[in-house]
Amino acid sequence: MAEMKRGSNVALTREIPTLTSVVLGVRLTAGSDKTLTDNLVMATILCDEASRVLSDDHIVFFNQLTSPEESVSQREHALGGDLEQVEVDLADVPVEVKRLVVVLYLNEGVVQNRSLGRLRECSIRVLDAHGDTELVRSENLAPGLTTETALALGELYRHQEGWKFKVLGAGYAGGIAAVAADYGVTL
Amino acid sequence: MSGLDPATARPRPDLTFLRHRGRPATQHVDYTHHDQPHHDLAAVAAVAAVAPAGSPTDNPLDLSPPAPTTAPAPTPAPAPTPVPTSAPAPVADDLLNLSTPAPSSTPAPSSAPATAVHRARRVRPGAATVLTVSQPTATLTRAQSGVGALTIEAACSPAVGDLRLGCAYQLRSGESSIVQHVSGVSTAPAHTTRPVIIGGRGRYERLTIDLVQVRNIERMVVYAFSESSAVLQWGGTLVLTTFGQTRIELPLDRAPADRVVVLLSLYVVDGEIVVRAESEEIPGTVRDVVLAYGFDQVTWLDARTPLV
Repeated sequence: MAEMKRGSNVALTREIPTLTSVVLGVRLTAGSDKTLTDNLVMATILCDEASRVLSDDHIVFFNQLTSPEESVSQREHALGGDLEQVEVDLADVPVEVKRLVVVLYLNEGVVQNRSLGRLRECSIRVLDAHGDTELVRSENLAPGLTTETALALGELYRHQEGWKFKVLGAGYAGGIAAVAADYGVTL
Repeated sequence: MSGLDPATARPRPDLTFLRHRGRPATQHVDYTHHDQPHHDLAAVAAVAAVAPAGSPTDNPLDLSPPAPTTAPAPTPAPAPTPVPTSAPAPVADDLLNLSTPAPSSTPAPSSAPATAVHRARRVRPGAATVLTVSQPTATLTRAQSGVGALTIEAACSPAVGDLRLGCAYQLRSGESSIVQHVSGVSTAPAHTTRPVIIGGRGRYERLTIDLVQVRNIERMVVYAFSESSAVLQWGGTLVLTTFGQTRIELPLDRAPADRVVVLLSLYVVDGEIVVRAESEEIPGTVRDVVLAYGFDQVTWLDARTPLV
């Protein structure tokens, strides 16, 4: 299967009209640096038309495993070798949610001297939640990262009654704080 | 299929995510204001006692005294005729008045006052939230409770004395002990490469909570004491700072004393960090204080040093 480049997109529901729910998974290789992997977190931000988070309850991550209406939920145990996975029930996503942005960040609470530049491989993939079959996968987003501590991996967004997926691969030197500022998440 | 009926299914406390699937109960007891329910009940009772005289009298269960000359008649204008079925009573716009029977003829219990609803006091970014006697709690969102670190600092001038911070903790993984930097116990758990809580001293005494591990925290109690057991000239502020630089502050103004003072408790409730000002002086040693707050799984080397 061809890997998707940064910026490319795919019309998921047009290609697969029977698609009802998807899994977004993050895969990475960090070598033997356990401190790095222990502090990497995947977060999914449910955004409105203006790319602002709907509310503080609309960021799904390990400490908030579902969105309020439970259309987006983080799997407590990721399957298939992914670091973390989030499951999206497409029909149940509130209409005001226009895009779901998947972010990988380094929790900088206690850890120092780490950055995503140490990753060897990092990619996001989309699976059909029924059967966990892989639909698309991004290219390796790790090359080119240096001191960034957060990375917008990809986004699932509404397009003409359906859903598309786009690979972002945008690094943030300011980490999760900068991501939060971009999407209006209060920390 | 009866085995799949949620009403009869075996509870699954091991699946913690299921807790998020429950709907919040409509009634919450406000445990942050222990006097609140009484006040509310008293208020409702008072309102009920002065129930509007203009209430309909065709209700056979209405025990209120018969209406005298229709109450809202300050002017000599003709008194309004009560309309029992459709129009609300004249005082219906008073939100506290739950006694208006209105169109229904059901007796009072159906409109009985709900217990005081606990509204979490949220902290606003950019402004400090001060814990006071009347508002002793504050609740962080799950995002604030799960990103970065939470630091707790005792911002005190040297005039206060040799104030030191410590905390007792209970982790979901089972460990329970104290973090007390001055005694050389600087991490929770004590022997780990990945501490959940770190005690230290920069400009001030400080505790740092690694929030990527917040789900491992059950509760904490933060206390302060004098290293030399001297009398502390209390002053300054205990400052909690989130990753986004949102602050919660607890003033440390107290009468001079040489006792250990429990400043704050911290609970993780469904992923949300709830802090509560305790400000309680407890006679005795650190061990007595920790025991008084129910941390009975801690083992000790001496009265102020845990066995680690």
